[in-house]
Amino acid sequence: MTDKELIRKVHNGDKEALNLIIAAYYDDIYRFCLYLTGQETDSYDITQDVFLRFIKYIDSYQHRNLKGYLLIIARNLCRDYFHRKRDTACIEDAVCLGQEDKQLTGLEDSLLLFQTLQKLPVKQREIIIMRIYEELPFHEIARITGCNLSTVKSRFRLGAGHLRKLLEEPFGGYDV
Amino acid sequence: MHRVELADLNKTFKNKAAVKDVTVCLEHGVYGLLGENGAGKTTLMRMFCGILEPTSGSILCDGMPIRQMGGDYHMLLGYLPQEFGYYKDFTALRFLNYMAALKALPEEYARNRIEELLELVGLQADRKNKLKTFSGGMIRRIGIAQALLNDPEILVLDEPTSGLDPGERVRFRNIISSLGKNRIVLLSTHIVSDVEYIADNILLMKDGRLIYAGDASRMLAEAEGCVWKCLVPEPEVPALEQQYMISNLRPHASQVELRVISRIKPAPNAEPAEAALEDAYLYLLNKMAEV
Amino acid sequence: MYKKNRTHLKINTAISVLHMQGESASATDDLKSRFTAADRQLPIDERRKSETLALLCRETQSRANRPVQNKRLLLRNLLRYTDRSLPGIHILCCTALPLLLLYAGNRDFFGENDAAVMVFLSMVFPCFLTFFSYFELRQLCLTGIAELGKTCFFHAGQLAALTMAFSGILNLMAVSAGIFLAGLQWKIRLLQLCLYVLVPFIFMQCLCLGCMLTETGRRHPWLNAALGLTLPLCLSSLSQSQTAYTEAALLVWAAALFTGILILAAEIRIFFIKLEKGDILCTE
Repeated sequence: MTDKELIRKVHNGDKEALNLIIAAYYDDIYRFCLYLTGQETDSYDITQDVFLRFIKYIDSYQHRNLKGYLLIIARNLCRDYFHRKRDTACIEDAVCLGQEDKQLTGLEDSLLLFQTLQKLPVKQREIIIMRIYEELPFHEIARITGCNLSTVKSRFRLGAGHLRKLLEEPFGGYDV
Repeated sequence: MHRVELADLNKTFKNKAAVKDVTVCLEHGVYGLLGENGAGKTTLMRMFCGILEPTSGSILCDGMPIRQMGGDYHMLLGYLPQEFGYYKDFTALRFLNYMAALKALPEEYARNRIEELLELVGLQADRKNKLKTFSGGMIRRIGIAQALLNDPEILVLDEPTSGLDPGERVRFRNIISSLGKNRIVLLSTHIVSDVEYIADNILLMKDGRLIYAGDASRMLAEAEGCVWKCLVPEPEVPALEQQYMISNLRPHASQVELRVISRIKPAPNAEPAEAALEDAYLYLLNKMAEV
Repeated sequence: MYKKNRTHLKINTAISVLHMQGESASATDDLKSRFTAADRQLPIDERRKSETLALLCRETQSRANRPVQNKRLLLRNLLRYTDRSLPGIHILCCTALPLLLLYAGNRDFFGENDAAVMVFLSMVFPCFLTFFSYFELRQLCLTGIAELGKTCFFHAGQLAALTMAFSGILNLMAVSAGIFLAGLQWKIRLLQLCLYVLVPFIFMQCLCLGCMLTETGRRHPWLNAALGLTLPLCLSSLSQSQTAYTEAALLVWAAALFTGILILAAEIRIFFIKLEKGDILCTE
């Protein structure tokens, strides 16, 4: 089923269509928020907000690409989140992963990646996530971020180089 | 309740920058947008309402760009422009019905809402009269009525009290005050007393920039210790006017009572006075001019 | 020597770009695998996913319960309350044109030998009708009500499109009826008459819309009227020329029509872009 058909079904109140949208896009949106913010619980909240906003304003949906649209909302809500955090705490807050009842062993790789990602400026971080993890083409990333193509490519090049360098450091980017 | 964020907003017309780097976040309450004529208030409000496209920057409502929200944002919005246009041969009732149709309100809902609003603004008796017979104050009241038709959660009023007499001003203030509880009300004016009693927050613009954004009490605190009252002989007044900012001037027998905004004592007999919002407004404008 | 160095520099730049791209490709693969490994270590909480789905279902349900007006009814209300004075006069004039031609033909005012006069009048009347379209659009876009309208559900762009469609259809119907009747009455080939009438009609539309696109034109409607009057003057001088109405000149008329349509299409696009940006509604 195409995005357009899915949206039409949601308009008509089809709950199955909602299920399909969640099944198709929830994981990607959640992980985008998680990699961007480094906070697990907050990322679930932001992801929920993304889908709620989408439903709330579904009448004005005019995009061709639903995932791109959801990423735009996610990106804006993450920025909102950063602004709020700036007022209450340092933006370099410790990455918060793993729920209380989960063992932390086995999380070293993800911790390393998250901590290293948080060292990148937000503008580079979001482009790295969209390009490498979400595998979006540059022109799509340019549309989502509202930047021009050359800016996106340049930020990606700088961000990827920086990330690789940090990951290859002796302590691998861990805060020791 | 909604949250509207303006981030690094700029608007340039040909070679003139009307709005420069405005960043502010609005949540529920009444926001008084103050500034001189030509400060950029109307341009800012037009961008806020999605009428004008910014040259750069973004406006987000609950995290979503308002241009992408389209009709959904307009459903939340009620707007009263400074130059309020209307069809002169329309009656008040027909005009409100027309605006209700433009706002895509269901017929039954619109009918009830129009009756309520005509009652609120005190124009029930004039509903079948043509708008060309209305006075300036009555037109403004019809304007506020049309802005409230869709029970907006974001209300934007551009100089709503311009041309109104004091009695109508007070009536207007009371209406707006009651509306600010669960919505965002952005109200622009260059008359400080309009917002003094009703605005929770003040936004002060000068030359396109937002030079102050915060609550009224904090704005008053900025001018604390900088307001003076003094009685001077009339011949000394021009020299003092040259040197200091005078917010009020009143003849008193053969002397003149001055209210002066200054960091230093302007005259030997000057006494400190409690700062009013207008004093703080003038103080901040002058401070920016010095910078 | 300088040329050799420049070529050398270009080759080196190309090599470093290729090297960087190659480097980026391998860096991307390596980074991608790290993301994949991280994903495996942090599975998604299905409970939270279900909670989100449940919330969306509730939100969809509450939207379904909201009273919604049928779009057809909304449009009906809009037409019911909109200002009908100018469109009313427009409809009257559009009806009058073919009736006048019919009357003139029946009364034999001009006779068969005055086809040239009839052609001239058939060219001028549609230009006159264009002024109605122009004033209807002006009233919509340039009065204070347009600024207000832009914040409503039915926004200025939709209303402008509706207005242009309405007046365009009216004008075309009147013009078509006029062409048909004039062609029949004065035994002029319909295709030929089509070209003679549509070319000035289209160019008049271009002129009026062009004025709306400039700030000077918007501020001074009399300028538009003055420019508009030059077109009939040009037509009258054209009607003196014998060669303008020969069969050989038909190709030129066809080319002029095609060019006019292209210009009008471009102007309409620019008009809607400016309307969307607010440049037309908010003249400083």
